[in-house]
Amino acid sequence: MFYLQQIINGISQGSIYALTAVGYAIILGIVNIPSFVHGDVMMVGAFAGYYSVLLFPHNILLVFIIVFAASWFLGIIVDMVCYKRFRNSPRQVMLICTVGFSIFLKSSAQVTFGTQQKLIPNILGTNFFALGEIRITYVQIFIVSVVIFTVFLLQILLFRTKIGLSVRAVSMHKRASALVGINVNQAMKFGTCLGCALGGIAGILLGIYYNAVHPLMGGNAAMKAFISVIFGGINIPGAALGGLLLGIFENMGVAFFGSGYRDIIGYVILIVVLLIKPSGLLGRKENEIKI
Amino acid sequence: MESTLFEIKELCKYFGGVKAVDKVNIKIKKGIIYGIIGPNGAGKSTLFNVLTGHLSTTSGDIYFENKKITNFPPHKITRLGIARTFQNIKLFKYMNVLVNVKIGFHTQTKTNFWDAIFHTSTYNHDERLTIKKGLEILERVGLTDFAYDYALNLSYGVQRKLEIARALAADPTVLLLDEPTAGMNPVETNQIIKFIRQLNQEGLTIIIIEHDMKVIMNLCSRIAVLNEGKKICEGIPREVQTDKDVIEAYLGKSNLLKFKK
Amino acid sequence: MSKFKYLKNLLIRGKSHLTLGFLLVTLLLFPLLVKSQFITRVVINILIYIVLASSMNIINGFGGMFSIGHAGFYCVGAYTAAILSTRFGWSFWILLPLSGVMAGIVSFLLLGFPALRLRGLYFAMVTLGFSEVIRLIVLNWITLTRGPMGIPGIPFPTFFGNSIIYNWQFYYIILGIVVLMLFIIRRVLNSRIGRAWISIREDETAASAMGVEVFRYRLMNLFFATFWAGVAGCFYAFYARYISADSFTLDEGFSILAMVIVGGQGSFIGPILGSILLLTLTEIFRGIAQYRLIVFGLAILIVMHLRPGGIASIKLSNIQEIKQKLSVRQDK
Repeated sequence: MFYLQQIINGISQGSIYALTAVGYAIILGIVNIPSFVHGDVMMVGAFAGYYSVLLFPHNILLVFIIVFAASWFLGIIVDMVCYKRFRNSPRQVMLICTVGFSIFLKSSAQVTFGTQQKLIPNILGTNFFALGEIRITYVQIFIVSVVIFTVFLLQILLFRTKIGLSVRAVSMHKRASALVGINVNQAMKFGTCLGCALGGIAGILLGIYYNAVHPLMGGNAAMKAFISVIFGGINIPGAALGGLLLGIFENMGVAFFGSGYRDIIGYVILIVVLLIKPSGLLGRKENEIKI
Repeated sequence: MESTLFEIKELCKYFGGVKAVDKVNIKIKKGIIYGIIGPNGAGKSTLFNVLTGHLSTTSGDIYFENKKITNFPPHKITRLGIARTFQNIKLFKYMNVLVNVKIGFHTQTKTNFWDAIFHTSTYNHDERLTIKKGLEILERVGLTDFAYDYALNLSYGVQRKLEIARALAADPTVLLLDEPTAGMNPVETNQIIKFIRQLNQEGLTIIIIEHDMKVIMNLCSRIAVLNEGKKICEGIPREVQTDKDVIEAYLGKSNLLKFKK
Repeated sequence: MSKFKYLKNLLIRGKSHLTLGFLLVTLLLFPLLVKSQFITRVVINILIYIVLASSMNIINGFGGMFSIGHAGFYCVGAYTAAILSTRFGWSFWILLPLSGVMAGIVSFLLLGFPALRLRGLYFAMVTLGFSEVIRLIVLNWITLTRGPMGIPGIPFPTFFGNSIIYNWQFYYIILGIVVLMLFIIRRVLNSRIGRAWISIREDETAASAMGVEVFRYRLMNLFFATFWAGVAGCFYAFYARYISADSFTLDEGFSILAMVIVGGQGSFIGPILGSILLLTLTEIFRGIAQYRLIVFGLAILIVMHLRPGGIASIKLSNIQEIKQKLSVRQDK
């Protein structure tokens, strides 16, 4: 029973990891651009959510819309600062820019918001379902629903709209896409913004789950997203699976070994996956992991 | 008595459903210039990449001097005396010409950390060798004047010559040339033809992929024709020119196969 | 080459030798010229970061890899020195190279085998992750490292029976380390090994086609680079006399990276210039640590947009521009 509870906790935490990983996988896999700044995008989303909750404590939908918009906007800035000029430069230049931007965002956030974490009032209450000894909180249900809903919308967006098609085409072959009339810059910008917006939503979900936001939360979140993507594969289903499994393994591990070991579990998974199958569970073997 | 230098047995390289190289069998004798031709996408460069270890085989074997070298890593293949150039030039653009050639001497030198730090006799010997022989090779190729120019600033034809120079630094017995005259004007092409012939006369076996029929017909004593991964013909130039399958594969380019000297 | 060009070359070389000599003399006489302990400590700090930045540059600038996790190896070096000196009384001088070797071994195990199949961002993230792993292990392995309490009471180094206590003495030690390191790096870079590394950096496929065993040379590159980070760690441990995991957070790695990028990744003097510039700026604008990192982040962005080759690349193009202007004037 206890382990079933852990698995349920793991699923709700894992679904957040899954969302962070999916946003990351869109940027890395679909837009095919290196990003070191995804964690900090999540952090900005979380803070946007924090202030929205303070302003509009009873309107969750508005909070999420604000977070989505703010993160989308941040995506535009990321594109301008880190990617736009360097489309035809060596990839390392973009990578270095995202590192610089990440350092800048992190430190600016610390200076602006202080180094203490901020507590998010619990807007969803602390009610829960009880099935025998197992508790499923409303918050957990909410988070899993949001993630499923978001991924569902994402699939529609990417596979049934024109802009989604352009983004996918550009990821496969930039020049061919340009030759058939796709605006490569626009498509890549869209993909970046989409990935960032998802990151922002994941950020506020993290804030809701832990009831707190902190300027340095991005680093940890990005590492979890990274591990999930390596674990599951650099594609949307893989990232989601990786995130889910990571959440479950973490919670099981914490149950066995104690909470101090939470992060180490992720790193152990990382090393094992890298040594055995670097392309991930759902990754294609031929897919060499390049920059 | 000429011996078989390279033997490629039932070589297959599949990328998922795409059969880039499909059960290819080739025997190459020592000391000849062997040509590999075929329409675009026939699998010629893929064949090279498998031969030099840059791609793994799906099945089949490769023998060099009667020893199996299937799936050897690239650096090991080079050490055996097999050197190559690339279809899309892979020079070190931000280095000068001489340094590009110096790097080619990697297999001919032995300096390790200790030697480098203490400038031992091994280090001094290696440095002198790379400079002396580097300049010699540049002279052979006719690039002495460009020795200190950045590779990035060179003209296309000169870059291709540099690629060959760099491959020669490894002191190979076989040279694999992947479209060495692509993008060259007729004067440069003639120079390269002469140079390749000279290298062959000095004892180098040469395997050459080319689209320029003039080059192939002038240089090669034997030619293999690939199409869609399969070898569809092999023989002396005249045989290949008049082969029905070959003409069909090129479809309409048959006038290029006319023997031109 | 015309006689004029030959003489001009000689003059330029002579001038650079002169400036180098002048610099060396200033550095040697520094403690005699400057009595302020504060400035001495700042300079010692700069010298430590010159070691760290130069060693990171070996990976990022010459190895064709991108690492952000250098702090972890700095940490390994410091803790090796701290533990072996406080518990077993090992000498500073033996610990200097030993800490380096320890850091190198750790890099083999953590990076060499699992991570070398990765490139670019993925490799970078793994270096970051493992830097954190090292820090977490240090924090949690309390029996070995005293965890969050850190290791105090690291003894003074001794030199022929005399304890080394004064800043000026530490200054000469770190100066010696820096000079030795730069000398060794220069010799290795200008050899077959350095050329192999550069070929891997420029084009891995072409490098392997020329007989360079890419994996092995990458391992060598990692070991050589992290060795110096470990040496820096050992020096830091004896200089600060107290270490804890707090000094080896990810921010350290970011700071070192900023120095490498701003100075010029892939150039020999780049990391030196970057360290001097960024640390001097930090001292001038002595604020909270967070302000320093804001500046570092911005500096990276500015450099990437204006001069991706860093400060080091400014010199070269300036010289060329000046040459061009001079030659035009001559024609007139």
